[in-house]
Amino acid sequence: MTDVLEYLVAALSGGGIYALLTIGLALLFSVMGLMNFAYGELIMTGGFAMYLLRDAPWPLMIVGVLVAVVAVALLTERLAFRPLRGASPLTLLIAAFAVSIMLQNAARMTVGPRAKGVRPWLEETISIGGVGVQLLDLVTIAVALALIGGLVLLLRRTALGVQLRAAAEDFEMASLLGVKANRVIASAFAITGVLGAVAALMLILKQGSVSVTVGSVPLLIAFVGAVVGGMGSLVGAALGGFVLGAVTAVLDAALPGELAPFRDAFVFGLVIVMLATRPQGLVPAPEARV
Amino acid sequence: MAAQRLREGVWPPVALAVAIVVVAALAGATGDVVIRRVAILALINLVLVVGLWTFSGVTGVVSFGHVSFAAIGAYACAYLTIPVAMKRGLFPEMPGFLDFLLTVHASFPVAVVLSGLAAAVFALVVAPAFVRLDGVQAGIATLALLAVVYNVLLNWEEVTRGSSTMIGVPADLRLGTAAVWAVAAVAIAWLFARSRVGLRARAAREDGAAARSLGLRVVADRTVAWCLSAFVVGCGGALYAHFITTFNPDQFYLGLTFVLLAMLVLGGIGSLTGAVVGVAVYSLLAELLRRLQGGSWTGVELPAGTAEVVLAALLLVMLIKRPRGLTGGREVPWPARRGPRAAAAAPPAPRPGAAEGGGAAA
Amino acid sequence: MLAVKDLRARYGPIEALQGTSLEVREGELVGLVGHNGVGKSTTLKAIAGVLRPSGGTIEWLGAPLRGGAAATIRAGIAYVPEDRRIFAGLTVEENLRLGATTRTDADAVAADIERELERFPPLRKLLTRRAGNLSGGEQQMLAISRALLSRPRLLLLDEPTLGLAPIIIDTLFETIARLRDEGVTVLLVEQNVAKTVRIADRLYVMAPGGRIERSGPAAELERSPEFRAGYLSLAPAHERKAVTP
Repeated sequence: MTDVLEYLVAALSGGGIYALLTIGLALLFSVMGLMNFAYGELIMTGGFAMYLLRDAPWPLMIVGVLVAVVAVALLTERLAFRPLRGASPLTLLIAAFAVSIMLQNAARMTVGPRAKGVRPWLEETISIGGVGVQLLDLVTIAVALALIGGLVLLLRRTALGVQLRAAAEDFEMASLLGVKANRVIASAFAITGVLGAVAALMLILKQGSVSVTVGSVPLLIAFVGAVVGGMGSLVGAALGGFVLGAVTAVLDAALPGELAPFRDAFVFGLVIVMLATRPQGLVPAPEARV
Repeated sequence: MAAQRLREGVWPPVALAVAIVVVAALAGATGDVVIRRVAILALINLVLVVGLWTFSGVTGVVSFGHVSFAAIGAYACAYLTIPVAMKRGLFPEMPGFLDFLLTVHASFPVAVVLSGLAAAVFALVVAPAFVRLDGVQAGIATLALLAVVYNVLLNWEEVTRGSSTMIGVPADLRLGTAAVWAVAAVAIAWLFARSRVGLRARAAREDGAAARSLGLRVVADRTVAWCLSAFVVGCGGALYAHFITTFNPDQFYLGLTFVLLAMLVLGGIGSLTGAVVGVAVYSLLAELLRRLQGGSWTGVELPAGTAEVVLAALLLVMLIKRPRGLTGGREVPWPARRGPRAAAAAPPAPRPGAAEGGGAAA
Repeated sequence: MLAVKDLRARYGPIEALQGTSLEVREGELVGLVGHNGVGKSTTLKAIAGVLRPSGGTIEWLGAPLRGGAAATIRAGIAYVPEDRRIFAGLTVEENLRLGATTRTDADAVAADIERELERFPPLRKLLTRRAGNLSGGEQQMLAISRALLSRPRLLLLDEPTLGLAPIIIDTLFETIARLRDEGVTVLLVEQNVAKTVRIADRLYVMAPGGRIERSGPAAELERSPEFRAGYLSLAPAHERKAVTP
């Protein structure tokens, strides 16, 4: 019984983080066909901001992380992806790859190649029904829910949200009606930045350290989640990300030592199978984008 | 007519082969050890890139996972060429059913070919999952393939030594040998591209929708391209193993994938000449940047990673300004005739300002 | 109001328009008809700013028309493309509001939405319905209303009756005629020549390559025997049959 609760909490918090990441990925993909391979580096940026601000008071650090990640996201949009607007999704993927390498090496050049520790927070375990649960996990679940809720509100209740959804469905028609492409895409990147910043905070607090490659594994899992869920659909992406994050977290806790290292192989094998059999994902988008 | 066919069909690979041999010879003639190593590495990369082109350039489906074939080739070659006496010590826990790996041995050329075949067989087995995909889906699926192979190689420690380096591979790759393999790769790629299967695949590349309606044909053609390219890339991996002599799975992951893609995009994915040009230009630039970074010219040492940043930035600029690469998808032109080329008319684009959605200032 | 002179446009190596000229005067309903593939849609796309012409000029209200689609809307030209392109995932109301994206007078927008609901009563009870669940006819109404929400002076309609049931087609033609009566200038591209010629003030007949083969007041053309032979049935004037060429 205690195991179940532990797994449940781990699944929810892991799933929550990855849902945030995959929504960010899916948003960019539906609006401009970009599979942002450099997304992991947003997490890296957040992590390094956490490290650089490790001695600052908590509110300042959180704000600092948000600002840093959103700034980097907007910067990559302006310098790398805006000139490539309208390019094929594949070109965009390669470009994102290049941006990822640039960001990683820029970090390597400035902050250094070695892993850095971050100040732990919310480490305490509290007792629920006699089971020890990490406070951090609970906070993660709450934050993830709040953010997703906020995003839904943004998309459904605000003019910007309507424009984003329209652009995500049919970018050309939206511009024909006067929706400003630059504003919409920049907002999408900014949203991605906020989601990435929060995910970075949660992930890195859990890990305890940050390095240049800290974003690689989350990125790949988020990728898989987006593909499995259906790249063009935000709901599908959230679902895919959640399922995958949850599965990964549970596997981490539950896999026998023998097979544990092969977790990633299973996960990626899953994405291959998914693409081969149901390329549009669990929840297909209104208009498939290849 | 026959003369033109000869020019188009025979001249480019011959020109490329001659260029390769000449450059290799020059590098060797300098007697400089560093230059020789740079040249050998470039030739190996040439085999890898040409192998990748055999699939991605011909079918138009970009693969992010071909480095996994290189990995298989490298490890296979290691098993075949590490002295038998060393192997038991290196792999103390090799599972019983793989015991033959400890006793096999082959000469270098045979080992390379066998390694290529191993990669090709693997490719054939996994082909059905990949050959029906296009565009971004294919990119992601092949990326997943890379991740799977990487993960297995890294974690199946009893067989692969995991993250500990593979050692004992003899360092017997000479400049001349590398050049021979490079020329062979170019020949294989060219012959394939001009074969019936290759021509059909290239036609299908131009018109994806119509190609899909041909169904089985496209899938079969792509499978051939997939396996053949895996063979060449596998051979490249084997050569690479003999060049660096010590390696672990990290050498065959995202870093190498990026370099190969960068070379391909730089030169122009549309033509074999593009692949070769891309390797040459990138290798030259990388070496220059490395010397600059190391401070041998300016006396100032730049932080590690500078070269990578510059090269990645270069790739980005290339994608923005000249997505079709330096060669624009054209093969080596016959020097005598320089006829007018019909300028490709630009596809319809929104009026200036339309892309911004803002148009005239509000 | 709108003067198109010697317009040229290309799709890759194909010259879709090789010198198209036409004009639309204020308050008119001008029909642009012709067989499939002659360049009618391309002409509208070029005017709307979707497509960049390779030659010729487009003059609007005396000045050259510049900028992309958004600028064109602000200049007072609204475009309803072929296949409508409504946003299936958004509600009817959200679709309508998007039509007013370039406007800055929020209160008037609400009034305009109300006006559209009067024009197309079926839309009223569909306001909160997902646009993708609407029928073809309802989607067409939505597309037109959305375009009208930008308060255009000129409306470009690209084959609005394509794929719709005959009853709806009739109603739609009536509605378009009424639009002209209300003061909206309309440039209507259609394949249904018989119905178009009845509501239009003037007609242009386009031939392959975008050349204007003949033009003139609709009433005149309707009576001309060659026109009738080429584009309507051979029946005499008093026995018109609706024939789609």
